[in-house]
Amino acid sequence: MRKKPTNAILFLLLAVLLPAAANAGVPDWLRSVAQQPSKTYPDDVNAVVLLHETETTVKDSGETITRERRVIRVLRPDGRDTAFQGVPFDEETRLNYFKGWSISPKGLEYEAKKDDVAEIASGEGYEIYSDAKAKVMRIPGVDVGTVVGVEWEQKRHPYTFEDQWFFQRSQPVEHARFILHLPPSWEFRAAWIHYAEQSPQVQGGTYVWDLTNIPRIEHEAEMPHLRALAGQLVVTYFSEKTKGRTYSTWGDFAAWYTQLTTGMRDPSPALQQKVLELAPSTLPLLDRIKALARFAQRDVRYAAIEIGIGGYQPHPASLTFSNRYGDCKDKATVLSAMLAQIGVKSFYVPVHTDRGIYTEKTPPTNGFNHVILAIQLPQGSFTGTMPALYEHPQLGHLLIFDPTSRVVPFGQIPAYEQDNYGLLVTDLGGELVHLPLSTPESNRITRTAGLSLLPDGSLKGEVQEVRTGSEAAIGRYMFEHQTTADRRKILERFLGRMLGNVQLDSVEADNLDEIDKDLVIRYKFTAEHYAKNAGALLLVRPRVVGEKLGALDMTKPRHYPYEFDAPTLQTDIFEFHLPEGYKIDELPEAAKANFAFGEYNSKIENSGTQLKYSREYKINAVRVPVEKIGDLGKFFHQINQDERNMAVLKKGN
Amino acid sequence: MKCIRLFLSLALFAASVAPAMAQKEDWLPITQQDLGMKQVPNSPGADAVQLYYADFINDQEQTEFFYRRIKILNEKGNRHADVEIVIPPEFSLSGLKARTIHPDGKIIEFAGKPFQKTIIKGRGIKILAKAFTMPDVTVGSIIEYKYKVDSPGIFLDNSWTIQHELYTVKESFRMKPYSGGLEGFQGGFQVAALSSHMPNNIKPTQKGGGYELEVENMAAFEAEGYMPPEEDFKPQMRFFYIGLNTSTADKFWQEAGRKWNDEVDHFIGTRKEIAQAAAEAIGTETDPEQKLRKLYARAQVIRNLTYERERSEEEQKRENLKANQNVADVLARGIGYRDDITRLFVALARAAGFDASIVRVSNRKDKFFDKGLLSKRQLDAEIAVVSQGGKDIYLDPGTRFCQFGYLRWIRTSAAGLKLDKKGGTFVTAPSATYDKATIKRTADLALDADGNLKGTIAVRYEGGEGMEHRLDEMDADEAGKKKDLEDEVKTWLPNGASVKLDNADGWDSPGLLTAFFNVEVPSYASAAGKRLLVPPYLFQAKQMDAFKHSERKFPVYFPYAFTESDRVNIKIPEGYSLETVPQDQTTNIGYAVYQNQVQMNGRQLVTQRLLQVNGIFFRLDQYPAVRDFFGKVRAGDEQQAVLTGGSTNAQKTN
Repeated sequence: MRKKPTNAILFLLLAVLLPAAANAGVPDWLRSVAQQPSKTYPDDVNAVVLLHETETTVKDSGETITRERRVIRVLRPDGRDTAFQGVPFDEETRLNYFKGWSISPKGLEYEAKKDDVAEIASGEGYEIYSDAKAKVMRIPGVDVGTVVGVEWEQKRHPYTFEDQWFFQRSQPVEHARFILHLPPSWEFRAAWIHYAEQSPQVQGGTYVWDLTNIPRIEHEAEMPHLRALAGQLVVTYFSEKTKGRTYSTWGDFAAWYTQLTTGMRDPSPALQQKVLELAPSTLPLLDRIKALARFAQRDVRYAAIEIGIGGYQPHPASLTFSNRYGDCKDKATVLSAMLAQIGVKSFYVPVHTDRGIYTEKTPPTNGFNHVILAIQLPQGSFTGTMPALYEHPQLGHLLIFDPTSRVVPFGQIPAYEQDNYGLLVTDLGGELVHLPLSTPESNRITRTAGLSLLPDGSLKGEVQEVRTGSEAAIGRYMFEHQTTADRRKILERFLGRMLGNVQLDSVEADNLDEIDKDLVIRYKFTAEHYAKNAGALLLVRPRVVGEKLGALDMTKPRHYPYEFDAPTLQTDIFEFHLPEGYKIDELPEAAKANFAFGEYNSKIENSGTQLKYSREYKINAVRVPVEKIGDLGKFFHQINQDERNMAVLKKGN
Repeated sequence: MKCIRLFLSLALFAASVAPAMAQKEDWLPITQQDLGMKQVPNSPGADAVQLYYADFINDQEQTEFFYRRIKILNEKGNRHADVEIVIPPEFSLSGLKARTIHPDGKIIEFAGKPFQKTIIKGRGIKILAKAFTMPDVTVGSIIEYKYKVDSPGIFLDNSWTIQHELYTVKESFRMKPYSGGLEGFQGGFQVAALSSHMPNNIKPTQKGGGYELEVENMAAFEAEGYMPPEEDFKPQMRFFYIGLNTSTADKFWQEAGRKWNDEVDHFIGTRKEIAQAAAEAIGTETDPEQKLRKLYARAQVIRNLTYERERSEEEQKRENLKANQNVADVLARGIGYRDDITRLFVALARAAGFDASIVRVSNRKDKFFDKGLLSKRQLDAEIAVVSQGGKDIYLDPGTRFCQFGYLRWIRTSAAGLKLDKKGGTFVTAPSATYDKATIKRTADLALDADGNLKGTIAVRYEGGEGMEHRLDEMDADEAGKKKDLEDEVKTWLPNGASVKLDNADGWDSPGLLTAFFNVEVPSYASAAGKRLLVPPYLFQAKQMDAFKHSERKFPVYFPYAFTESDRVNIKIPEGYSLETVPQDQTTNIGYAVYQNQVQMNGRQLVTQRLLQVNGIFFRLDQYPAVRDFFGKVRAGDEQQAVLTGGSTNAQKTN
């Protein structure tokens, strides 16, 4: 609620009477919230949000005023960074005011002054230039027990008429309130994400949603993105006057996006010439498509310049082509324009690069952060199947392709886009589509090693790693364009964890640039003191390299699902040539852990002078639900045990 | 007439002013050698090479001209085509030109306008950046850009950056000093040039009162983990405006020392309340060292604001936190910053008849002291030195939790200036030997037949280890301390270990810090048939990261010498007996000692392990020996004891 003028006058009067309190100008609404009795929280909660209030007033012209109030109590020293509060703005958003105060446990009051506020460049960090800015305030007097209050007001001219209200966060929230004032004849649609639907209190054109005691989202290893878990309210408001800038269906959203991109795919003569050069009609159609995809992927440098609507709207394909740089939507646009020249249709697919933020249940909302393409493959233009193929009931074979990823080949999708949802923007409208999840067999690491164990425990080895799919992409990210010396360092760090002091004798990598082929990494090494002498025994760990153990803390109850990056199938085959005079005396048990989400099997074989260790690690699903975390714990326990197991060799006889 | 302003030589503003040599500022011709270059010498796979770099400082015109020509060697090198030039407050940028040159020699001029970014604006400070991206860049392209930074005044401290992120084929440097009058140098001034870490064959030449330097084939600078402060290994040329009578570094430091000494003397003075406080603190004690300890303890009672959160001016006013004018204020208010407390201690010691002095000391955390570098900021803190019984005792009462007889590691083996009326004498603060920072761990654990380990660990953090832990946790509450200690212990243990702090004691005072933990390590021992293979030593050495690479470019540098002294008792499961026990290990390379001894004591497998590293700086020629030493430590720590007697559920072979 807005502060009544009478309260303000009373407050000013008190200010004169009580200078110590009044100098700070702390408003009544903050004092009132600060006086609420403290509740008890777990000892790792740094701060609690006592009030998070957002009030949006929409004028009939479409101008929108949003006022935000937050009141936070600092509970622990680590919560002192509450003193820093920020508010974003850009060319389209005017910040009317930004104020901050604090009230200490002893009642001392402070107000942030002009000098406590700084303006900084904002944006996501990847842009060469973005017009996004933020005001950052440091509020004085913040310590454990302090109550911090901030208030700001923004005048907005939104591109689309919606409010995304993120009321659940990493701190508990005692009270959250969203107030919407709409002019007559305006309507709204409220949609709840990850939270039970709540009805507003209604008075005239004012709608108020009140929520209390919202639990925090805790941090857990390999958890989904916070936005894939946290409660959120999406309020879309619309009237006849805002047609084209508001949407109640994904189709409306797609229409808005289509309108934004109209004309952007028009070709320039130079672009047309390049298409003829790269994809002559003498080539089979699929090869022509691949050649153009490759150009967009590799020859158009990623560079983002986002000004105003440029955060959503691509640059014209002709400009991106001529500059040879652009961001994700520019790269998608230039490829789409080129494909059109050879008669192949393609569609924009806005996505979010974190899986789980968009699901089949997500209401129409503008929160995508990436754009890829769906390429319509004509019937008969390809044989077999590809992991990136999406079969659409009307549009047929759609190949999902991300020209921004430099290391994921045509026919595959980056791991983070798999099992994710994107908006397919077509001439007919738009729909949220479930992007394909690859099979474990398409993302493989096959590691084979020939190893010689010496009587003093030293191990000499020659390892070959063959990587496919998303595992090849990871390998390429790691190894591509590194100097020879840096590649050695990367491998030394990797091996050093498992082998101790290791001497790399050679490192080779094949097909680093040829992303359509398997990535092959070969290296030779010598590791001193690898096997342990124990009297007449020599103890050797058969699992020489590779760690499959996940980061699951079984000592605490788990709240959220566990996520793997992508399905994978990883095989290790290590053959040891034993030192002369030594025989295998005892071997550890084979490991066997099979669950729906993953499988792990190992075995050790003895062939006289040789010991052969092999294992297979397979992840079938990218998400393990909370109710299956116990099984995941058993799975990792087996892996841990197997990875630490040792074989016993004995001298003599 | 131009108004000359003086600025502090903040590192942030290191990029400053420039030249007039017009012919040098034109685009350079593109040579066949430039176009043909495909690899960086001795660094195959490097993403780009800097073909040319120029930095022309012209203080006469208050400009600094920069020129970079970079060749893209692979796709990763495209990142160099995105350029952001940060412009310090009150500076401006002019004459920006940029272009791309294709491998076939075709030139594409940058015709756009750079974007202006506000990096930060507030408190009257505005830092801007110009950002742009080069057009039509492909692998094999050469990109180049040049610009001038216009300065609002003369910097007293300028520098050339000689070594860059990229291998540089050719570099040109100029420095033309200001010739007018400078405020603060009424007696005239000169420009002193200081070179540090420059290769022997690279020396600037003096020309027309300024300096010039041409450099060829400068390797890229690549930092390494566990290296000494980077700044001490980058070649650099710095220029200082100094008075005509400041002819040597000695004179500079003498003058600085005199000023510091005057300030200290004024602050300490001779005051009766100090004498009275000293007498009260000493009481009836007669032993000189004990007297000093009591005075030290008295000084450390003062609330040390250096270690509290930063407060705004308004908060200081509201909390009545006034600046102390002298030691009597410190004593009366009971509040002070670190140097106030050190000075109070010196005042108390002097009042008690001790020969006590202040030493302005350097901090070796980020940089080693360089006497030739005429910057007072190098000596940024004060410690005390007391002559007692014919020896100098260095003390650091201003560092919270620093116990008597210790210095914090950043000030050990560090240069300092012992102040006196003449300006002082240079001294080196004592090094901290391995026994000044000790971790002692005692683990009492029981192994079950499934190989799981469970029990307790008691840790004693002694000397510097206790102090560092306290300082790290000063801001933390109990829950925070608990979590950090548990996290630390987890790093010592195998993956999957569960660690719960039972209690910790000694957080609030110098001296011993102890902590007790309950731990569980699943699958600690591995089963092989009837055998159980057990690593008798529980902990993992923390220094191993420093030695993962077989080759290094820079020395290895540890913050401080240390000792780890451990005893691990593992009770073996019922039904098992010991088959073999690891051999005793002893390795001694003079500056480092390792001992590991395992024996069976009843049903307990007992390991006693000692690691003493009595050095902080290991030269490159020592690296193989140190790496080998730590390799042996790891091998010794990972030895296995073999138990027999379990059920035979493994694959039994012939």
